[in-house]
Amino acid sequence: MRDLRLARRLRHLADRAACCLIASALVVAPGRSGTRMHPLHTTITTITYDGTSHQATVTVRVFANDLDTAIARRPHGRSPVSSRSSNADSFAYLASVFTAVGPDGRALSVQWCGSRLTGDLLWACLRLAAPRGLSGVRIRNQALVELFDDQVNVVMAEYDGRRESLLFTKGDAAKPLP
Amino acid sequence: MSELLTFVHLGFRHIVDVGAADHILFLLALAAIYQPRDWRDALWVVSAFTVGHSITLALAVTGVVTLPSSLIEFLIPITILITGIENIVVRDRATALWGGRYRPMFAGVFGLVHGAGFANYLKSMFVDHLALPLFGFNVGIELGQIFVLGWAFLVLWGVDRMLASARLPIPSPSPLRLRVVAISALVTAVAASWAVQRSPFFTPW
Repeated sequence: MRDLRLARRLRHLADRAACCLIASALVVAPGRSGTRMHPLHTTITTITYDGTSHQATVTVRVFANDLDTAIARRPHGRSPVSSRSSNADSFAYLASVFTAVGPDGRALSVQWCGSRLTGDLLWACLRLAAPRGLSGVRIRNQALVELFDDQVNVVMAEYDGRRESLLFTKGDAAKPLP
Repeated sequence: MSELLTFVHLGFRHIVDVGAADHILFLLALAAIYQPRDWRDALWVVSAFTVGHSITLALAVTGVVTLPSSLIEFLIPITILITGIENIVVRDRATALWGGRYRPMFAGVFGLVHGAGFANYLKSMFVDHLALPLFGFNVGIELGQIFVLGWAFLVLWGVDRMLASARLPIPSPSPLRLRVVAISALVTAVAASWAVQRSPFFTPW
């Protein structure tokens, strides 16, 4: 009988403790947070190789606000976060985080080929000179990893009638296209 | 790596990341009432959550429905809150509605809310081709959830062992009930604070 009473008391105590915990969380909840619950930090890059011109067109899809923030945080970042970065700033940033090295160990030359904004998304175009094709080229994409630890950059390449994908996270080394 | 595998990987990473606390807490709340031997029930509930998640994601990404982000950001912690409270309130599942078998439906409906959480983001990103990335992403999410569920069961088993070795002086409440209340209260408390932070009806004091 005594055990039963104690058990009932303990059960009520556990329920009350649970209620108190929930209530205290509501009281101590800090002010309104503008951050998303579960943000997905990713960029999508497509590389299309043209065998006649021996050039590859690289299209980087990146959220413009994130790119502006990354550029503004660079040592000589000129762009204030509140305004859109210039093409020169965007190119300088993307050319530093996206690299392509040929099988001979020489970096492929990169040129800017424009950008367009669709909603919040910036489509940046880079052109790579790849006289020997993309097979064996080592790609590295570290875009925005300095902003987000969970950043994942997807690179999809289309060349020689095949489609290959690479995935990059913070600190990843260059990966070869097969 | 194939394109499909890339997006499976992306979905998997999205769930097993520390930043996915809302998703992980929801899974923990769903799993809290089960014992390791009930893993099939838990898997069924989690899969129903994925189905709901995938439906909204597909509808929102293809533009069939448009959902306001601020409302979804608020509703996500509310789903966790309700799951935690349901765990605490329903003491005996055998005598509960439909013998407690309503949980997969419940998880499926809440999955609809969670799927909308990042639909706008994916919609912008996969604007030109959707089917394969979306399918791969959802498969990755399901695999990630099974992985998290495995860890959740390991944690729950550890809590059960701890409670069993504590040699409680009385037969009731059972160690399972204590575990359910403790974990659910913690999860509910965190979700409650998130709900307040993200409430569209709340002005900070």
